[in-house]
Amino acid sequence: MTNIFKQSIATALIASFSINGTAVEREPHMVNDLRYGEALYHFYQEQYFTSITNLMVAKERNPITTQQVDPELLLGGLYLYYGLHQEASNIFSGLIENNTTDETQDRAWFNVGKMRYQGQLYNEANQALIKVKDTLSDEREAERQNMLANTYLKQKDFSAAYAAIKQLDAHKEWQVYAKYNMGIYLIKSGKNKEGSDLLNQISSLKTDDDELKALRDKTNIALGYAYIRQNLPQVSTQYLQQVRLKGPLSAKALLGIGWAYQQQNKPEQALIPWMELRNWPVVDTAVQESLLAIPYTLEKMGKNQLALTHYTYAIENYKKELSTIKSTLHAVNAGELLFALRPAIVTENVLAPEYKNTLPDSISAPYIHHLLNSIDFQKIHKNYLDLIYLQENLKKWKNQFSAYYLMLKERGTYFVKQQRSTSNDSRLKLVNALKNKRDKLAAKVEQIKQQNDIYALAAEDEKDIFHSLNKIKSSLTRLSSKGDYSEQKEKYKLLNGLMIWDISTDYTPRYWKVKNELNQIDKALDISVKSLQSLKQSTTNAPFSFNGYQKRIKSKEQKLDQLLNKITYILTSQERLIEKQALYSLQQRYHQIESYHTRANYSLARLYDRMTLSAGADTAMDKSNDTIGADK
Amino acid sequence: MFLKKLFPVLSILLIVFISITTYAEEKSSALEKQVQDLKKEVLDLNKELFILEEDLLFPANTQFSIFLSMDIGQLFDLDSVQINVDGKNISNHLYTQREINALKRGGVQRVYLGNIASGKHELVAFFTGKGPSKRHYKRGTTIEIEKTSSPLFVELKIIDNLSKQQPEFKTKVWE
Repeated sequence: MTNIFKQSIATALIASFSINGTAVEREPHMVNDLRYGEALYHFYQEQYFTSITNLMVAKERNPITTQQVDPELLLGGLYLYYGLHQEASNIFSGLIENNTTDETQDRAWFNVGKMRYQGQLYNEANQALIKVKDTLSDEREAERQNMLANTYLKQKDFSAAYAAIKQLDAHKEWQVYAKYNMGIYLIKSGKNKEGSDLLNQISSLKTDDDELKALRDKTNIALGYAYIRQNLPQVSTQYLQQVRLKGPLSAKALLGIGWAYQQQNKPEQALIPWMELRNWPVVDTAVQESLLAIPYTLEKMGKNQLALTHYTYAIENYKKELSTIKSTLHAVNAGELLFALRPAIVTENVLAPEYKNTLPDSISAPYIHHLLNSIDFQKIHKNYLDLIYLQENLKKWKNQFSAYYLMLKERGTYFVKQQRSTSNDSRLKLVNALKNKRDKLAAKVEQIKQQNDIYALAAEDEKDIFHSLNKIKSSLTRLSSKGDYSEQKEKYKLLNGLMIWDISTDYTPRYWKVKNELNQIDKALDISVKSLQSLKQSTTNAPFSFNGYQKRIKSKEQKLDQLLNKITYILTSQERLIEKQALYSLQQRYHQIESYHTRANYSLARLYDRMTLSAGADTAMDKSNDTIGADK
Repeated sequence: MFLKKLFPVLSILLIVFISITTYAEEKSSALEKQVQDLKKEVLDLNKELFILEEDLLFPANTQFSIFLSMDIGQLFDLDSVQINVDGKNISNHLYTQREINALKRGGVQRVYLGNIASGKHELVAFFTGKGPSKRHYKRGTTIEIEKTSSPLFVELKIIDNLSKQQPEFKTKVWE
């Protein structure tokens, strides 16, 4: 991939971020499930980590079924934002394979395409993006066309790319970026005419949007330098002069204007913008180059003395810059850049610089802003911020564990105390005694039934009467030899017979009454027995549940410790990577200035030599003339 | 001839101007993979810890959650919510603009997560903010709730009644 194309993609991606606010898709949602609503609440506040957690917990507990595919699409998008491409891919593939609606399929293919696009798999991204039908929102469709255009460019299918760009007529911001990408790509491919035609549409763009103004400047710079390379300096100047005087590219524009005049053999005019740049901060590469271009041009104009002054001035400034970069290298090595990149307060919605459009407050920033603004570096920075947040999150959980253990201990202590007071409770023993009594009673009732024992169910007064009748019977037996007691005996028989008749006819209702009472006792006892059993069950289970939590907490704590170690290691590696990239970039800047410095020194020495030789020749000539004069 | 000499200098500028270092691509892919794996591991553990904490601190038989949502939200600028249960204050929340925006876009806030005993309770919520005429506005809503052995979810809803041009405050108990 060419550098220009990479930069174009980067620009387009940054544009997409700034247009959307975030890479994660956003659409109004109808909430039918509180858990989904809660995930959205955090999602809308850019608390993506919490939103993912909400959706993951819901999925594990009891999947959300009343929102159709919305939770899956949201989770997939969040995974994608979080860089978890495999997880996102699984979700979107699932949605595609599950014969879902056209709308869902389109959103899934769009996300798959975007994911591949971000992974720089342009052919594969193209394959996914062309599967999208016509249900995407306007904004998302514009993003798709922009991505499509870039994938076609990568395939060198310019007509398809242009067709995709034409689809962006209703989305000027997207279209402008797409045209820029394509124009640059065409010029790099040697198609200057076609590329320039596209870029020309941006070079005089009327806009109040700062981003588009910046892109317009970039376009004019690109066109201006392209025309210098094509040896068309006058055309070049037209574009370079359109660059805003106060902007990040103004120094480059002034430098280019100088070169364009130089190309037209107008060194005096070339010196005007360069001399202006002399007053600008030397940190700008354009200013650095102009410092060398000025004396070089003066020397060519024959103004050697002036050239000497400017070479010396350039050397002094290069020296200062080299010294500053050296200090910056030391500072970066000592962690100054990392300190600047770390957020002051760690929250989950700390955004990476691509969203803030500001450089970190580091002394290295002016030298490495190309690196800091690159998509690759911003991905690394985002990962760095994510890791810091994840580390903080794990540390917070870690701090919770002591409270969990304390809580379990307290619960255990309370349980033992309760268990002791329960085991001493006399009411529990009463249940067993009552049960024994009931069993005996039930046995007796059964015996009565078996033996059909009508006397057993006689009332107390009836039993008294029987007792009296038995006594009468005994007396009559004893007196039978002493007289005629037949009348009394008949009365006895009658009374006894009446009693037996009464209790015999009442036996069945009496039996069922007793049986019914026994049933009621059984029911009451059953409740008491169940309560007792439940109490025993709780007593038996409670320690297990403590132990269960104990084990769960312990295992999570171990896993957490493991991850904390891992995160510390990876965070350190990430920091080293950031520092290495910054140092590499700084060293490039150092070598570049060193090269200017060497050239300036060489030119100065050469000019001195020439002037000395020239002065020597003049002196020799003078002497010769004197001699000649003397001779005369 | 002159330009030929100048172009090496010019080319340095152009290279610096258009280049983005490729260093990152070469060095960071292995680390990138490690970072992504780690993120997934942390997300998984975070989920498990979340569930563990909920099980431990808010078991289903006592768990009680209160949510707040908005429908449209044009007629009432919410400032704060106060929630009392059985006369006791259990939650106060002061809203940021970011939170209000999230609610207006369809997000649902869990205002309270705690425990409550089985049986009947009285929940009273007070909403303060600015009403349709941009004047200070305070309204309350009361609901009798019953806690069973299942978790109890109550949603407080702020709804724009467009016909009356007044906000309405409703409650819903979720099964």
